[in-house]
Amino acid sequence: MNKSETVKALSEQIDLTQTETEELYNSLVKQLTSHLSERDGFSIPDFGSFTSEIRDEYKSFNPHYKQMMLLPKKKVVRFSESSALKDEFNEAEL
Amino acid sequence: MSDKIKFSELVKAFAESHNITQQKAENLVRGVFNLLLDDLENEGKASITNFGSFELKEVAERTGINPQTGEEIVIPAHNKVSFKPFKALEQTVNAPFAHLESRLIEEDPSESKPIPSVAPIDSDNAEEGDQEEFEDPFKSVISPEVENEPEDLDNEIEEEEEESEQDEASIPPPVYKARESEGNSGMVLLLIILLIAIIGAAGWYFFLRDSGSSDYSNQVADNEPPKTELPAPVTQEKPAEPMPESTDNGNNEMPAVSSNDGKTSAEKESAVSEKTSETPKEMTTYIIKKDEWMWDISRKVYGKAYLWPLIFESNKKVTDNPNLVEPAKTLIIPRLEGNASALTRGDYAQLAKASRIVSEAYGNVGNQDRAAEYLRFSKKYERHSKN
Repeated sequence: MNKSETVKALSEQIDLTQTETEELYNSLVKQLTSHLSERDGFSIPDFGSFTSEIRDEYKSFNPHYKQMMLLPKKKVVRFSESSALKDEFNEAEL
Repeated sequence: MSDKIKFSELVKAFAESHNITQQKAENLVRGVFNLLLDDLENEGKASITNFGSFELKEVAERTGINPQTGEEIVIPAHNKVSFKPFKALEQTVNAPFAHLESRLIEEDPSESKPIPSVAPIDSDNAEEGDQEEFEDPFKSVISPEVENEPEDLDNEIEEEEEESEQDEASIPPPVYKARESEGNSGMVLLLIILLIAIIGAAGWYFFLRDSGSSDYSNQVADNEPPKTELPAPVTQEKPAEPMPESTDNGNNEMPAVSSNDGKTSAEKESAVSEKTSETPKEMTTYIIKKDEWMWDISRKVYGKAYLWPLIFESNKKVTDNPNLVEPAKTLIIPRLEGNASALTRGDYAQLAKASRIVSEAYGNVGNQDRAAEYLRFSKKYERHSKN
């Protein structure tokens, strides 16, 4: 499902025009991004939580230069699924 | 500790900033993620534009250890949803650390690099003479044939002479030396360097008295035009005559000190002639040894390997394939405006230009991956040159 399909489906759910929905959708993504970059993250009920954390610098082998390199620290986004989401895809096995 | 935003806060903030009811905002957010769930169920993957993609992955059964009891347990095979942030999200989140770059670790003992930065210099010394010797990696010329000649001491003195000149012109990055002296017993090395500098200066003084300083400064000035081939070897062979004298002095070392007054003036003279002839464009040369790549050469002369496109750019006439460098050819080493650990904007601009040329050269020899890589480097350096 691509973006226009998503927007179309959303616009029916919340009863707004597709252009309005697309604007809202875009700014929602922007807001979620800023939550991740300015704070620690957010969680969505029954789906999972998104957190951003600082990954320390670490050493790794660079196959191109055939040498160890020191990779700098970086702020990365992590996702952890909620138990509800886990169950959703594992019901058959459990 | 955690500064995570609650779902209700998230919805409230979103509703207020867009003038819609909280109910509607919540419906929208839940709707987005419900659609994601549907996608995940139907296709096994889903994505949010400009945010990231989700994928359903199967995890195979494996054994783990219960950290509380220490006993082995079997973790059954299961599915999990993995998330991969898109570039837009990654970059925005990582903005505070975007300026950091990865760098090579050279002193790492486990490195498998065939030519570590310090080792080859030591082995050269072992070939050259039995006495422990500091050879300056920044000397203008390394001449393989001369190394085999009997007058080893002469050569060393020559090299040291050049080193002391270069020191006065404040070219070599201090980083390299520091590492060098750490490796061996630093104090002993420093003493030896000092002694040899004095001996070299004494020899220099004799040479100056014989042939006159004006001759030499002319030769140095010859270095200035960028594309002159092999100007430096001349300077190395020229002062061969006064050498016997200087070795005599060098062996008992005391006479060298006695001519101290003359030495300092001679040193100053040479420093002045160096300085006047020094322009940002001034080149030195380097003769390639066997199995050396420009990467290694750049690390030897600048202390930083990634500056090698500069060398390549200056030597387009000598070689047009960045991978192939034939031994015993002479390379021109362009001089930096700043130093290797603190490049100026001009250096970055030059590096950007050089990287672009490297990229084209790689394109010409059919290595498209490298070409693209160096094109990217070039753009990065260009950005650096502007801010």
